[in-house]
Amino acid sequence: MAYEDDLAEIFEISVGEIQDELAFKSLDSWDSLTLLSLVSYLKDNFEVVISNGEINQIETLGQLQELIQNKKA
Amino acid sequence: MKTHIANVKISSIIAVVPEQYSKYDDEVSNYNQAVENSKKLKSVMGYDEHRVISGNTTTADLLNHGFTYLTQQTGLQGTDFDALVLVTQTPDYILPPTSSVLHGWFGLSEDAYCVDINQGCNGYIMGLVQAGMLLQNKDINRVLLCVGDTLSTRTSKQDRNSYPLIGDAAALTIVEFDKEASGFEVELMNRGSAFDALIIPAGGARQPNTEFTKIPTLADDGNTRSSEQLVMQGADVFNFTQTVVPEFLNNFIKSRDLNWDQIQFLYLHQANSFIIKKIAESLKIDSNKVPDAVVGKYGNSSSATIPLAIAMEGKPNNHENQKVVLSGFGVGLSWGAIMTDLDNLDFLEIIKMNGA
Repeated sequence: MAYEDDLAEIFEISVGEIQDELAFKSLDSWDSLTLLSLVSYLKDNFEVVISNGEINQIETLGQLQELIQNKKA
Repeated sequence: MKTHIANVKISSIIAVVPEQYSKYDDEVSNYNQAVENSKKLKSVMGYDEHRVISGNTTTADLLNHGFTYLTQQTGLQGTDFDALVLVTQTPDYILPPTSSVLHGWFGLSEDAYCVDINQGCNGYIMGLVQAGMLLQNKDINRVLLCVGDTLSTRTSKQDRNSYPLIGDAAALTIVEFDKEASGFEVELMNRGSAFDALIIPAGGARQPNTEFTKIPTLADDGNTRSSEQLVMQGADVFNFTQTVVPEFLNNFIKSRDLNWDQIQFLYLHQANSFIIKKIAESLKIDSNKVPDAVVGKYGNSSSATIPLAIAMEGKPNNHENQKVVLSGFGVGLSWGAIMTDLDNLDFLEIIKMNGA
């Protein structure tokens, strides 16, 4: 699953840690650069543009996935 | 707005930076974020050192220093300018206009036209357009465009989103009427609905400064700042620079039946080198034509970054008959571009203001 691998690389964690309930903004690696990497990755690979406001409203990877699905739909 | 401004040209540029600088490596410990992460940021964003004013030096002081040097070097004096356009977001006063202060210091004639424009990242483009439009008046032959900001004083030292990239600088540009000159091809855009993407919330009439607006607070993004300091919605601004700006620039070129191979330089607002590299990638333009070194050496001084980038690129006579595109984008949101022929300039230099 490329998506999990990519997220693991962006968040600097192992693929096994990529779970729906993971609160990604609590990770040690989470900072403005990680945010930009995520934003840039989603734009390039899913043509989805996410905003600061949208990121502020979600906590977990499951919610991120939901956001991406909703924006693609 | 889309227009052509005929018979005008840029004839001299002088950029002024304060003597004092700060190194990113020395600032890492000010931030709440882990040192490891901050080091990674350095290489990606191209941070190294940036100029920050010392004491109470203002943007107007930097401009005054530059004006003194420019008049010494060129023999011009205040009365040789028919208009003064000042673009800044760090004026000396709420009132009077800082262009009035400069008018007095520089000794312009009493019938000279003076105006302040509150613009930042796209401010150089806005200022050039204003100068170009003034030059369509037959009584106006030479305009002094003054740009710059000293935003280090309005940015939290504990804000890793903004402080590492902010730099203080100013620039003076002489814009002249010339019957032989090709003029400016101009496009200007605005998106006021995103006015808060880059904002200093307090200090204006909407939210006057109080004892509370001074209090530094830990924000959701992990940075500490007060309401009197600059706050940037990093992801939103980044998205804007990677979607809206490249599309705008490609259309700008295509609608004029040109391609990037026919442009010698694309001088982008120096937001940071990461953003510039990514825009250059999207445009598929040769990255050697897109200078990106200003932030790592001087910092991002909003309206002064484009003249700094031009001045870093070479000597006055390095610009023989070059077709260049200048483009600013950011606070407003406001963005735009000017295509012009940058011929040999009378004067092109970066100077340092000692003690500032």
